[in-house]
Amino acid sequence: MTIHAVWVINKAGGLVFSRTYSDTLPTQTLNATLILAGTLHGIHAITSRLNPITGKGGLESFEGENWGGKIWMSLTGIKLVVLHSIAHQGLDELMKKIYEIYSDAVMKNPFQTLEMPINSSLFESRLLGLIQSVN
Amino acid sequence: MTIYSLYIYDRHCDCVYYQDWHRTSPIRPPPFTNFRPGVHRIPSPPSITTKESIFNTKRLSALEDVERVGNRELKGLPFDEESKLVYGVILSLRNMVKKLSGRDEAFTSYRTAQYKLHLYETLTGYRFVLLSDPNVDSLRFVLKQIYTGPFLDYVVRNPLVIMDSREEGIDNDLFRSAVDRHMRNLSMFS
Amino acid sequence: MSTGAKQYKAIGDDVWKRTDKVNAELFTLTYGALVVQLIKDYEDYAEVNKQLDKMGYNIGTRLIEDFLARTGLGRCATFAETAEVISKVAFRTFLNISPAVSFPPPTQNPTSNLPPPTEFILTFDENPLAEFAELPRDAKEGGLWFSNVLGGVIRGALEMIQLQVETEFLSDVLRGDESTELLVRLVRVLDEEQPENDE
Repeated sequence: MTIHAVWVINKAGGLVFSRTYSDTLPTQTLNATLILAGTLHGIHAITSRLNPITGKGGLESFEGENWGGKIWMSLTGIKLVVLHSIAHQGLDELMKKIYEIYSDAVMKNPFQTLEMPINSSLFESRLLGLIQSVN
Repeated sequence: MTIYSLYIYDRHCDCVYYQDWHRTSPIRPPPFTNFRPGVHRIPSPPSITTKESIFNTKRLSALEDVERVGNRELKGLPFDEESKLVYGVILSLRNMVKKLSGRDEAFTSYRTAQYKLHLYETLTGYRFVLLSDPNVDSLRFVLKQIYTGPFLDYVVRNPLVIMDSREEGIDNDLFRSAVDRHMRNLSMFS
Repeated sequence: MSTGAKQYKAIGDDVWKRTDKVNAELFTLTYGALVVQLIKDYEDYAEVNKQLDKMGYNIGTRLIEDFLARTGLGRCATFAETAEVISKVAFRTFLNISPAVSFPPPTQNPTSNLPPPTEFILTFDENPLAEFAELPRDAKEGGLWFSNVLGGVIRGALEMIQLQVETEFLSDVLRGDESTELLVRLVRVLDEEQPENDE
């Protein structure tokens, strides 16, 4: 399994972190990524309304022909988005670990304001280490 | 494995057909102003007791009353809004996937904890959308079978069905029962 | 999809094998009766041509679904490829003929910004629609194109896959010309429709 990119989206739908880890997808400008993340946030909300059976739950994953995306939302409303290759064993494990790294590096950092863009080097390096061990 | 519902959209982005099987979330028929014939067979709210034709004006005004008075509070989105939302989600996801891929990549399905949506697009702009339970693999082949089977036979080759109309859908008895038969004959239909 | 001409021919033959067939004479007789009735009703050959084209257009808008559903072909990369597919697969599937494709030399002042070729000519060496027909003199002089329905079919079918084309017959053996030729010219590529924004 290859991880192409990781995004973190806050409760309001704004992008607070984005990093690409492979060359498969073309690079986007930051603006484009911001818009795409906002779109994804909106889609997540709408998909929970379109539920054909009773229950809650928004978009969790989607697939194109050569890659897919997985979205995990915490109880606090932040979304972790991972863009990955079609083969994706161990993806759930990975998302849990990303959430752990997030809670350590970001939440426990007193200088990190909630809902604001993340620029913690600890977060980035630990995340990079994790992704590199997978790719 | 359960199949919940099927939507078909034409190249004008209108929903031209809807059918459901095991759907349990409520759905309301669209309000009179947005009603388009020939798309779905959603029954009217239970307070209307007549079984006359849907074009009976008396019945339609009674429909309006129910929604206005709201003594029988109907839950769920009206059908026309719901179908537009489904289309909007598909369009947004498709554009997003295209933008991220940098080329014309086809988006084929998405999943939530409760359901999975499968999309099959034809070159002519028809979009076949299927909602099923989330634990299945791709059901695109089912949509392709509907396209090459019942759709071709009972819609394309049926001169009495107006394709490409902006006013009405493609619902007809033969098509509806053929689709129903096809779905129920799938080995996975519960 | 960039399959070569041989593969298109194979696809066409294969689909033809699998289709239901109808008696050829019945087909020819029906079409002939149709044209004659149109002439009687409209009494104006230009109008008959127009009606044949309209009928062809309505047939084409539906025929494309049948074609795509049964052959499963994807989008063509160039207009030249479209020409090959129409000739080798479509005509083979529906009429069991294979008209030759040729590309006229590009015009001196290209006004469109579409990549060449933007037009092609189909040359029919056999035409099941006009098997035993002979045009009377005033039909020849009046400008009747007996097989005009074919132009309409191509126009309708291509419009459903976002290609706007114009078609016209250049010559017809029924009119005494050497060969039957149909010109198809690409006008523009249509954009996909967006839903109305009512919010």
